[in-house]
Parts: sequence; C-alpha cells; structure tokens
Amino acid sequence: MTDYIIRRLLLMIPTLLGITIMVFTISRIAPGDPFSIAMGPGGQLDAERFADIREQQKKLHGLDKPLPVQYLIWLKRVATLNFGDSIKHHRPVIELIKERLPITLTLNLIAFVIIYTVSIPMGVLAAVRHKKLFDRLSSVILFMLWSLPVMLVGQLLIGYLCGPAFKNWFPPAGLSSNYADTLPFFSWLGDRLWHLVLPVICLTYSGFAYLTKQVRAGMLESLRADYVRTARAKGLSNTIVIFRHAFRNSIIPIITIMATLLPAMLGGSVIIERIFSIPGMGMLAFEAVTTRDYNVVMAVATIAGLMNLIGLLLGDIAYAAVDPRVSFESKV
Amino acid sequence: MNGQSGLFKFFVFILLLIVVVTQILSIMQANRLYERLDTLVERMAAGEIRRQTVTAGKADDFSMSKYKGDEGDWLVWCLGAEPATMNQMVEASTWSTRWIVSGNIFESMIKYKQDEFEYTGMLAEDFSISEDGLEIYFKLRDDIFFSDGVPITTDDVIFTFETITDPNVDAQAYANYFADVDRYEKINDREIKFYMKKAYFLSLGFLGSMPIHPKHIYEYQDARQFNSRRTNPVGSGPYVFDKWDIGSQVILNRNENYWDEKPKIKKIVYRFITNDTAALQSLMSGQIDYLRPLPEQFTDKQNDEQFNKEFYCLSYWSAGNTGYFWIGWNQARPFFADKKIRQALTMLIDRESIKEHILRNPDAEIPTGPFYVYGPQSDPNIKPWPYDVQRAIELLEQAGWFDSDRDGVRDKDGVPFRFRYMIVSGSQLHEQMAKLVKDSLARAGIDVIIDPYEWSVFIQRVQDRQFDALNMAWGGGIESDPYQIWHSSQIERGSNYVRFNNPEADKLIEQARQTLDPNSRNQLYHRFHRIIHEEQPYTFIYTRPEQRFLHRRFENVKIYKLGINEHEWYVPIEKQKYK
Amino acid sequence: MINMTDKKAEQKNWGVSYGQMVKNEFMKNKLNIISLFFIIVLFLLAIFAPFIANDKPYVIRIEGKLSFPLFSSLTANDYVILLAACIGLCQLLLMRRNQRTIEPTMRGHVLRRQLSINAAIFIICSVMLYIFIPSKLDATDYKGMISSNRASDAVFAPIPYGYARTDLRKREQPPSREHWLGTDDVGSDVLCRLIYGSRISLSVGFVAVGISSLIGIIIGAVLGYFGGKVDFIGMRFIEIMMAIPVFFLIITIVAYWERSLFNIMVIIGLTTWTGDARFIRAEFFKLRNQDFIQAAVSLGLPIRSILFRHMLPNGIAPVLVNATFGVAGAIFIEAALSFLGFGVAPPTPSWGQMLSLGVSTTGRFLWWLTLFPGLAIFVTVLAYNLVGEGLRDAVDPRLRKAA
Repeated sequence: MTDYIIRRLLLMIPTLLGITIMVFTISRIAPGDPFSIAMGPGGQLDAERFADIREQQKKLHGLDKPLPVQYLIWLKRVATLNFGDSIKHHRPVIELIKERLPITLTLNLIAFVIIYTVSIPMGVLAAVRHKKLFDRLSSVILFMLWSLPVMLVGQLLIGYLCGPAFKNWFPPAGLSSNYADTLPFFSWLGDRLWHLVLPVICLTYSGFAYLTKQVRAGMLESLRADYVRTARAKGLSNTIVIFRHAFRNSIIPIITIMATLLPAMLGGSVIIERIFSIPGMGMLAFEAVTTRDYNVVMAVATIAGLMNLIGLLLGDIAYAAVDPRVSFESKV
Repeated sequence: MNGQSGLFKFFVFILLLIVVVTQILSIMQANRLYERLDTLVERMAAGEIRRQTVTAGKADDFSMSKYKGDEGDWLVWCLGAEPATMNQMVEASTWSTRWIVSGNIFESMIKYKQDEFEYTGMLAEDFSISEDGLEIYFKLRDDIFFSDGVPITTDDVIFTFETITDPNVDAQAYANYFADVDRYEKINDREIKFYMKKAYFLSLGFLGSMPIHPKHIYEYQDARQFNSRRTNPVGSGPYVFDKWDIGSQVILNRNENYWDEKPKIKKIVYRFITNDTAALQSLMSGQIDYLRPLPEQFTDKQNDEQFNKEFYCLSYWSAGNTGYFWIGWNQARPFFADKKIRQALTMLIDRESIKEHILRNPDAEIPTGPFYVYGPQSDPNIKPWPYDVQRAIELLEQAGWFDSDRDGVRDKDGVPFRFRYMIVSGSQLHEQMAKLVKDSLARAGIDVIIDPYEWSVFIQRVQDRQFDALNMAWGGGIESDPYQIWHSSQIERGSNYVRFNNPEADKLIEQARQTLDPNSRNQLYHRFHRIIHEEQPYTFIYTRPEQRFLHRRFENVKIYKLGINEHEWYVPIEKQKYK
Repeated sequence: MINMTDKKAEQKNWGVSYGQMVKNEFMKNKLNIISLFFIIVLFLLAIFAPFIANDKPYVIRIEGKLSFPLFSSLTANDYVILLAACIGLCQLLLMRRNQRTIEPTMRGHVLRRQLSINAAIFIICSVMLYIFIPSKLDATDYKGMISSNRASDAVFAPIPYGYARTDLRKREQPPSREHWLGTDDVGSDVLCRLIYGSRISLSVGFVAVGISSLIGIIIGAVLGYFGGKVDFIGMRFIEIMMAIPVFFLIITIVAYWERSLFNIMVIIGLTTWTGDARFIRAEFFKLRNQDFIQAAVSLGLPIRSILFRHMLPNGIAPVLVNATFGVAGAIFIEAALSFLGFGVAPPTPSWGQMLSLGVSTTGRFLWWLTLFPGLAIFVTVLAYNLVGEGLRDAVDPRLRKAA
C-alpha cells in the first residue's frame, strides 16, 4: 500500500509539471499583456512614451526573456513556494490566495455537506422504492433541477428575494454587511451565514441529481445481489439489510465522486461569484486570465491541479480501504 | 519484502523528507523576513506619531469658518473596484486610489476654484507663471503641516517632485507630465521656482497639483521601498488613513490635527461592491450612503418619487471627469479616408435616440469636439451633425459608393463597404452601441461585422492600429491639450489612433501649446474645434455629467460650476446615523 | 424470384438487432418519447428559423412587380442546414428500409455505404453552396413600405422581425401583442432571437460533442487496447487535461482566437473530451480480454480493424449515452460563456447572452429576458438529459432483466 502511495506521490510531480507547462504556454500565447490595461484610455496619456514604458515594465517583471527561460525562472521560484507578485494587485500572490481560498472552500464545503446529507438518503430511498412513485417523482424533479442553468436561478433569486421590494429577505451581494466588524462573534457568524444562503443554494441544487443517481444505481445493483437475498431469507429486518449490507457495498462510487467533486466545484463557482459579488478563487482566476496576470494564473492552476491530483489519490486510497477486493499491484 | 526494494524505498523516503524539511525551512525564513518588514513599518509609524507637535491652525476664527453644521457621523461611499494600492503616484494606482486619497489625505499646492475656470491656492498662498512661461513660482503658506504635526516646507515639494521623476520609481506615466521641467530652485523654506525648457500652458497645473508627500515619512534609499508602500498613506489633508480591510473597505478618520478648518464628517468609509445591482440595493437598504450609479440606474430612479424622498439625485459636471465616448474611423482604410463618408456615417447614427433610449440621461450632451462641452476651449456655436439618412446617402453616392452588384452592400472599384467594428467584450454599452450602429448602417447599404475582444487584447490592437472602426472613450479634464490625440506626429506611436492628419490643425495645436494667455489660446482652440467638426475623424457619441446618489440626511450639498465639495457636508445631530 | 411469403418467413428469422432492441426498450417509456418529441420540435425550429421569424416578407408587390425578399436573402448557411436536414431524413428512411428488406449480416455493410454516399453528397453540395450563393444584405424596411403604401400584397412570416433589427423606441418592453415575448435591450424581438438562438445552441451542442467524442474515442481506444507504457503516459496526459480547470482553459483560448461560432464549438470540444476517453478506455480494458477479441488478434487482423470494427461497436453504448449528456453540457457551457461575455459576437443571438440582460443594472428585473431564455435552456437541456437517461436505461441489460 505504501508502495502505491509513494509511487503516486512521485508521479504527481511530472503531472504537475505537465499542467504548469500547458497553462504557461496557453496563457503566454494569448495576445495582450498585463500593462496595456493599466495604461487605459482613461487619461490623456502621452502614448509616445507608452511603448518605452511597456518595455520598461516588461523588464521590471522579467517578461522580456524568452519563454522557456521565464518558465524555468518561475519553476525555480515555486520550488521555494514563492509564487511571485500579482502584477495587477502588486502583492504577493500567496496573500491573495490566502484571502480568497478560505471563502471558496467554505462555500464549497457547506454545499458539499448539504449535497451529501440530502442525496444519500434520497438515493437509498429511491432505490428501495424502485419504480414506485417516490422514485419516479424524485427522478423527474432531480432532472429538472439538474437542467436549470445557474444563471437563471441566481438572477431569479436576486430579482425576487433581495432588495426592498421583498423586505430584504436576503442580501444581494458580498460576504458581510457594512457594520459586520463591529458585531460580536456569533452575530458576525450569523451575518456571514445569512450572506451565504443564496450562493449555497445555487451551488447545491444541481449537485443533487448526479449524486442521487449514482447512489440509487449503486444501491439497485447491491439490492439484487445474492447476499442480500440471503440476508432477507435469514430473516433480518429490512433496515438492517439496507444499511448494514447493501449500502456499505455501494459506497464505492460515492467515494470516487467525492474525490473529484471538490476540485470541480472550485472551477464552477465563477458564475456564482460573479452574480453574488463574492471575492473567491473563481473570480480571482477569471480576473487574472482577463487581465493577463500571469503569476496569479499559474498559481491558481498549480494549486487547483494539485488539489485535483490529491483528491484523486485520496479517492483511490479510500476506494482501496473500503473494498478489500481492490488492490493496486502493478499490472500483470 | 525484497531487500533491494526496501533499500530503495528507504532512500526515496529520506529524499522526500529532505525536500519537505527544506520547504518548511524556507517558508519559515520567508515569514521571518515579512515579519521584520512589518515591524519596521510599524516602528516607523509609531516613531513619527511621537514627534507630534500641535501648532494651532486658523480653525478657531469663526468669521472665516468655511464649514457650518453639526459635527459627527460617517459618510459611507461605494467604490466599484478595490484599489490595488494607496500610493497615488505609482502605476498600480487607479481611479479608486485617487478617489480615496486625493484631496482627503494628500493636498496639492493649487486647485481649481469651485465656480470659475481659475486656479486658487491650497497649500500655496501665492503662485505665478512668467510671461514667457519658463518660470513657475510657488510660495507655501506658513501655517501648514502634516497630520503628525510636522510643518510642510519646500523640501517636501522637492521630495515629491524628485520621487515622481525618479526613473526607478514606478511612476513613469506620471513623470511624463514633468518632462519639460529643466530644473528647480529652492529659494527658502516656503518659496520655490521651477524652470521649464519650453512654455506650455498646462505646466502650472501639473506642477501645482502634485500631491505633496511628507519627506520625513516617505524618504527612501531604494526606490523599491517607495514602490512597495501600498498602504498607510500619510499626508496633510483633512482625513487620515485608519485601516484597509482587504476585500471589503477602507476607512479614513478625520484629521483632528488638520491645519485648516476640519470638515464636519468624522469618518469616511469606502466599501468595495463590484456588482452594480448589489451596490444600488446596498444604498437603498442603508448600508452605504453615497454611490456613483450607472446611467441607467440614475435615470430610472430620478423619476421615482419615493426614492427622491430618501436620496439626492445629483448631476453635475466635474473637474475630474469630462470625458466623452466616441467611434473612431481608421483613416488608413479606403472607405474612411474621405471626409464626406465620415460625415455621412455620423449622420446615419441617431445620437439623440442613443441619448434618450440607451443612456436615458437628459443631462448628457452630444459633443462636437474633443473638449469639455462647457469649457472655455469649446466653441459653443458649433452644433452637432443632425441625424439625416437622406443626406448621408447623398454624400455616400457623391463619394462614389453605389451598390453595383446588387448584393445590398455598397461598393466602389470592387471594394465592398464592409468593415469590422471592434468593441470590448462584456460591456453592455459597447454591445448596444455596436448592434445599433450595425443596424443603422445596414439600412444605408453598409455591412458591419462586430468584433468583440477582451479588454487587454482590445488595448493591444488599438496600440497596434489593428482595427477598422472602434468604440472607445477618453477621459478629460477641464482644460486639455489635444496634442497627443490629434497631432500628426502622434500617428505612429502616440494616441492618434485613427491617423488624423491635418496640417492646419497641427499648426493650431503647436501654437496653442505655447500661448499662455487664455483668451488667445482659446481662440486658437475654437478654430481647431471647427476643423474637427468638419473632418469628423471620430463620431462623438456622448459626454455626460457625473451622477451620484446621496442619502438625504446630509446637508449643505451644493453643486458648483466645477463640481461638488464633499468636505463641506454635514449631518444634523438628530439625523446622525453612526457614532 | 423469391416468393413473398418466403421472404416474410426469412424476415421473421432475422430477429431483432441491437439497435432495434434499444429502440423498442426506449419507446416503452412515455417520458422518453415526449423528450424525443421536444428535441425534434427544437430541430424543426432551428432548421426553419428563417421561414418562421423574418422581417422580410415571403412575397411582396412593389410597383406592380412581385418579388420574394425572404427567399433571395437566404444565406448559404440556411441552405446548407436545409440540405443537412433533407439528407438526414433520407438517411433515416433508408435505415428503416434496410431493416425491413436487408438481412442483418449485410446490413452493416450497406449502412456504411449509404452513410459514405450521403456524406459525400452533403460535403460536395455544401461546398458548392458556399461558393455560389452570395451573401446578401437586405435591411429595407418592408413594413414601412407597406404602411406608406409604396408596396402592397405582402405576406410576412409568422414572427415578422429580424434578429438583428433594432428599434430603440421599443426597447426593454414586456410581452405584448406586438412582441409576444417582449423586446431586449436594443429593441430586438425576444421570440425571434430565441428561435435563432436555438440554432446556436443546437449546433454548439452537436459539433462540440462530435469533436470531443471523436478525440475521446480515438485516445481511449488506443490507451485501452495497448495498455502498459502507452496507457501510462496517456493517462498522465489525460490527468493533466482533467486537472486544468476547464473554464479557465476555455476563456484563455477564446481570447486568442476570433470570436466565431465555429471556433467556440471547436474549443468546447477540445476541452471536454477527457470524460469520453476514460469511458472508452475502461470499456476497452474489459473487452480486451474477451474471447472474440483474442480470436481476432490471433487471426492476425489489422489493429485498425480490431479497434474500430470489433471492439468499438460493442463499447459504443456508454459513449452514446455520454454524448447526450455532453450535448446538454455543451449548451450549458456556451450559455455560461455568452453570459460572461465570451461567447459569440453580437448580434448573433445566444440564449446565454439574453439571460445576462435579465437583471438590469437598475435592479429592475426584466423577467421576460430571464425567464424565456432560461426556460429555453432548461427545456432543451432537460430533454437531452431525459433522452440520455432513457438511452442509458434502454442499453443497460441488467435493468431490462430486472423490470
């Protein structure tokens, strides 16, 4: 087992390298550079000097060297966990990420927990009452939820539930209110949570369908197995049969999904963060790409890639831990 | 377990361990460095505060009291974008930075009067420019000091100037404005003279509006120290910096040590809300007091009785923002080279309709030239080209463009009148303009292909002159120098993106730059204005005043000819919201 | 000459082919049939869009002469779409005929021949259409001509608006008798743009999924069959592609290339093939060890034949199912891109772009701009998802036995 883990960990390094090279290449091939933005037409700039200034800035940030050299320099810096400075924000990238990552993680974790707590029981129930009303109804409703585009839902929620017309049921944007830092801890927490309700709703509703389907499919398969029939024949009650026997054996797909779900959520929040003005990783990455903030782009890609790979690894390990039939010996 | 594989695993394990340990060590090292830097900054700030010596200002003279009303309360602004730095001079600063620090924390030697197109002294009690324009003189007041009590002297002026023009300081764009300064001469602690290489009517303004930084706080050995000072700005203004909650707000407290009369509002808070809808809702729910709304929002609420009971809808022309939105026609293209065609294009676009339906802003104006519509440089007798499709078609046909192959698109010498119209993607205004222009021109047999580009790519293409037509906006001031945009020398590397080349215009621009007498200079500009109007190198779409929403509890809100003055507002005690 | 009754008897012996079995299973569920019906309606709307919603009349009499503006302004695109529809229909009818009159063993061969002939016809004709049909710009105000009596006897399409026509006086109006679903921010009719928008959504869905499936199948097949080192390196490559946030990649690439519909389709296809690749790889792993494949290998058949003629048809089922979900996903991605401002260039109508106008910046909620495009996306995606689910159930042998 440890063999396998060490091998996978070592393998992550070339994979990460591959990811960073790809992202690097793509982001540099794209036209545009980060300085032209600062020199917007918002003022009557002496553009005669602009070309010179651009060259100066490029030198300042090391962008005039040939591409492979730039990549290697970046790599060397990253080895010391120094992701450089953001060109737009003029701050170390790590700081930016330290600010934004917790927000995105909180949002996603809450959504995650909600999705799992709701989907698993629903999936089990749907499998148990296969082809009955609950199964069919939940199936259709879940599909509908899955098909609703998040932009629609977000805007409907903002349009109908926020604002004075509806007595400010929910705040339309941001993470905390104006006066939040003057509140004692619990009120501050409550205020924070109040702001998170709508974004979390948007994030969760589409996750239900997928997970429930998987749980249901897995449960259906186990429920048909012989050992379940034996258990029932032995006279065990239905609940014990379902939860202690069938369910345990259908955990595998759930775990594999768990491993891939978290990194996937990180990317999917761009739209939600945009709609609700939440300063999270999604917006950071989006803005970085549009303003050609290369250091941030690379940092986000690396971190997201790393989390992805770790997630996959954890999933596989959990897979092995749960199912004794699975082993990771090298291929015959 | 095989002995060989065991040994190998051991080595791998040790290797990993070494890598991990080195990482941890380097992180700790980096942290320690940051900590040291932080304590250094803290110590600096603490050290200065201990040197506070309060010298009484003129604030106790009630007869000269500028500000009336009750003290107290906060003014909560909304800014649509968080600034990257509080350092006004470096490249990274944006308009958000300036909103926050300029005038509040930093002051300059002169400023515009509220009601006239003239300068008046702020930190300076006297200033002048010589007849030939080569000598500029400032005399500072004797009762001015920074928020920590240290008096302001010409050393600080010199320091500010030197910092801006220091090539290692990240302020190259700003430094450009001072390229004509030959040298300066410090006469004494209060008087200073700048010697210019050539006469330029804007030089007094540039020098006089430098934000004066305290030398004793900002002086540096290495320019990078200055560049990286992102926060804790210290100046001489009526407010001091309190804190910056990254991602949410910046707070300024009133400078209790202010050398002049203190404003009544005790605290200014700047909240960052990027989503425009959310910003408006924050205003209406009381979370913010002062908002710069989108034009749509303004028009929508202007007629809302309920809204007007709670909020002011302010609309004013300000010294800081007199820009205009335009469509540029690249004269390198065969169809845009002829001025008749450009006039026709302007007449095909219904600008009144845009003003009424897209902008929905009755205060907006259709500019006829590149100057501030109500400013002295603009000739008020010039009226914009009308919306006249017939006349436009006549002009097009006069220029030789007919639909000879019956495909609905005009052509001449085998070249169809089809061009690509570059806009910024993601901007609703740009998209609306583009769709409108495409439809309007299609009715006259001109085919427009809309090309949206991301902002950074857009800018690059503009710089590289890679476009047929484009949407853009210039910002502006009360008075501006058209050289960068309209002089033919700026076609290749300057801001003359559309390749406007008119020798008569060139001569007028050059002459005006050196004319110091405002009247004669403006006469020259009137003639220049007329040329632009005839040639239509741009189709000017609109220019509009500043618009603001403000909570009605604030009193003494007056609109002057050149803008508004937030420092003179106050809130009566019974209506004050924050303590 | 074979007797008719003999022929019928022979046909009874043919049994049911895989495709027919899946189809029968699929048709058992009413929900599937409804969803399929929706999709067909959507296709019809997309194909006949210029005839349903157009600001030019079918026929109009100007100064005594009849002219047919609508027909003369059809673009090469419109013709190619109509051509594709016709050929598609012919192909379907041929397939039905195949099932009735040709015996199973020959069917595959015949089908392949028909497909290649149809494909060739399609390609040659579309190329000719693109070359010979000129693009025509016609922005004359026919309705104005009618109302000012310069023309008469006009027959307009049911929705007499063009998707690029603007009318600032009528902007942002809620649904009314004139504009059944209201107008957008420059006064274009929402219903008209919705209908044309279906073209964008559907074509993005299909082309993107086509590209991603193609790449996924090829890569998955190669990896799954060869295993070992090839698989090792290939899996690393797939992991790399999967680890890069897709949206990120798309936005970066979109910034580089021109903003045409085709480019966006290609980009979405190029960034979403990893799922298919993993599926096929898994399937091929399973199939590799099966007897009939071992037999083919020992017979010395060429690799190309083994992969694509023997293994692929057996492993294609999950890919097809995935493909329907992929279409739904591609439609979502395109809508999201347009919503963020990175989609097709204006004035091309796109449902996502219309959605982005829904909440106006004044906070005024333009419900018709949110609801209708949102519903359109919702219904389309739902239909595809349901069809995909139905296919999956139809294809899965275990569920069939279970019922």
